[in-house]
Amino acid sequence: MRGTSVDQGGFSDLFFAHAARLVRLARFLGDDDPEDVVQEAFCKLYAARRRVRADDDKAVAYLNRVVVNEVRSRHRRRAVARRDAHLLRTDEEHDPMSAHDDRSAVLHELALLPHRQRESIVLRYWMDLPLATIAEVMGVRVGTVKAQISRGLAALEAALTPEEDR
Amino acid sequence: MSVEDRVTRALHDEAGRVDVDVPRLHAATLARTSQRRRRRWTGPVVAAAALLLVVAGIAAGPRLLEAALPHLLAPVTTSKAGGVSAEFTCPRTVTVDRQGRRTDDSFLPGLRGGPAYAADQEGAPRYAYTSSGDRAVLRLGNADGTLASTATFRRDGIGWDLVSTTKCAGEDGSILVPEDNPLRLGQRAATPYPPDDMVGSGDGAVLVDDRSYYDVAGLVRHRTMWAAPCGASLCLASGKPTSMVTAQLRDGARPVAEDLSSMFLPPDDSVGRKNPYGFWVVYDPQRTYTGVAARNAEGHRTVDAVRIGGPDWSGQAFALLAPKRSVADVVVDTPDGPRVLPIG
Repeated sequence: MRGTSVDQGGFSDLFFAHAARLVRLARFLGDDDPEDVVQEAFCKLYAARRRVRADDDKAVAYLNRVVVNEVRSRHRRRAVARRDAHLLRTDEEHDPMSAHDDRSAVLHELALLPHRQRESIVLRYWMDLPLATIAEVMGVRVGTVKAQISRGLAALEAALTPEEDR
Repeated sequence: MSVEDRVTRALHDEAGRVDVDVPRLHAATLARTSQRRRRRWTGPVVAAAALLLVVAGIAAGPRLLEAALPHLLAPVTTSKAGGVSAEFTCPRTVTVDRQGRRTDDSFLPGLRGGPAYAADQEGAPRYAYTSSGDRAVLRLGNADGTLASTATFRRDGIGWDLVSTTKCAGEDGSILVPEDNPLRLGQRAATPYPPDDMVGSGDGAVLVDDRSYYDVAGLVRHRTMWAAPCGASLCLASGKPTSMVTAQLRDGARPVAEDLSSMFLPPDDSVGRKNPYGFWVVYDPQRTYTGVAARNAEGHRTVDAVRIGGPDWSGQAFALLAPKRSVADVVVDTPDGPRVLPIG
C-alpha cells in the first residue's frame, strides 16, 4: 500500500496515537523506565522513516516489535549487570495486603512469569493481537506463541488458585 | 471467572490507571531525535569544539563558558511552518493570570492534546513550543510569523497547568488592529470574503466594510460585512462564510437607527474584550433621506454616515461608524426636515 512516509507530521500523528499505549505495553512487560523505551522506539522509527509508511499498519507493527525487543534487551543487560555485580536476585516485593485485590494479584504473578510467557500473554490479552502478529512481534513461530501462552496461563492459574480449590 | 478473563480484566484495569503525559514525551522524543541527527553529522566537530572550549575557557575565564552554556542546555522545542517571532510587535498586549490581572478569559489554551492540537484549536497558522524543566511556553503566530500570543504552563503532576496568557491587542487594549483611518468604511488590504454564501447569490450585494481585528488568541483576522436587498427588507451579514452574524432591517413606518455594533466586530464584550466603536444603520426603502449623521451630547453633528446602495436597489441605507462615547443620538435628514433618532 502506498502512502505518506513518516515525515515530521506523520511522525507526530503516530506518536500521539500510539505513545501512551506503548508506554503501558513496556510497563506490562516489566521495564523500569517505560517512557524511555517508547522514546527509543520512536527514535528508531524516525531513523527508519524512509522505509516505513506512516499510514501503514507496518509502522505500528514496527513500533510494537521495537518496544518488545528493547524491553527484552534491557532485561538482559540488567541480568548481566546483576550477575557481574555478584548481587543476589530476590523475588520482587509483593504487598501482602494487595494480594486481596485480584488485579494486583494477577499483575504480581504475571511479573513473575518467564519473560517470553509474559510477552505473549500481554500481547494476546491486553493488546488483543492475533497469534500470527504476536509471533511476528516476538520474532518466533506461531506454535511457540501458543506454547508460551498455554504455559503462562497454566502457571498463572496455579499461582492464583487457592490450594484448597485445586 | 477463567484465568484468561482475570488476566484480561487486570491488564485493562491497570492500563486505565497509567497516565502518560504524551505532549511532554513527544517533545522529549523530538529533542532526542534532533540530538542524534546533530551527533551523526557534527560529532567530530563538536568534540573538537568542546576541547577547544575547555582550553579557551581556561584561558578566557568564565565569560566564554557562560556564553556557550545556553546552547549546551537548549530546551525542548517544537514548531510548525517556519517558526514564530519571540517578541511582540503589536501596539499593546493583554495579560491574564491567576492573580486576576485581567478578566478576559476568552483565551485559555490547554496542552492535554499536545501543542499542535492547541494551536489547531485556535486556528493558528504557526506555533512554537518550548519546554524546559517544569515550565513550558506555547507561542502562537500569524502566517507571517509575527507573535500573536504566548501561554505559559507549569508542570502539575503528570500534566501542565496554565499559568498565564499574553496576547496582542490594539492601542487602547481593544480588538482593532491599528490603522491610519479606522473610521473609514470599505475594503482594506485583505481580500473580502465573497458575498455568495453570506447574503444570497451576491446579486446586488454591496461591500460595507472589511477590516482586521485581533481574535481571542491575539491572531490577526479580518471580517467582511455585506449588505443586499432581500424582498422589502435589507439583509446584512458580517464575518466570514463559515461563521457570520446576520441582520434583517424591515421597512417601517418611521426611520430607525439600528445598533449593529455587535455584528460589526466580534461580539466579545462579555469576555472583557473592548470594541471602541458603535455601528448604526438607517434603512431607507423609499430612498427619500438625503443624509444621516451622528451628534454629540451638545447637539453638534460629528460624523456623517456613508450611503449604501446598488444599481439594483430600490431603496438605500446609511451606515454610521463612530466612537461609542462620542454619539448621543443620530439625525436623519428627511424631506420634512431633520429627525432625531435615539440610539438606545
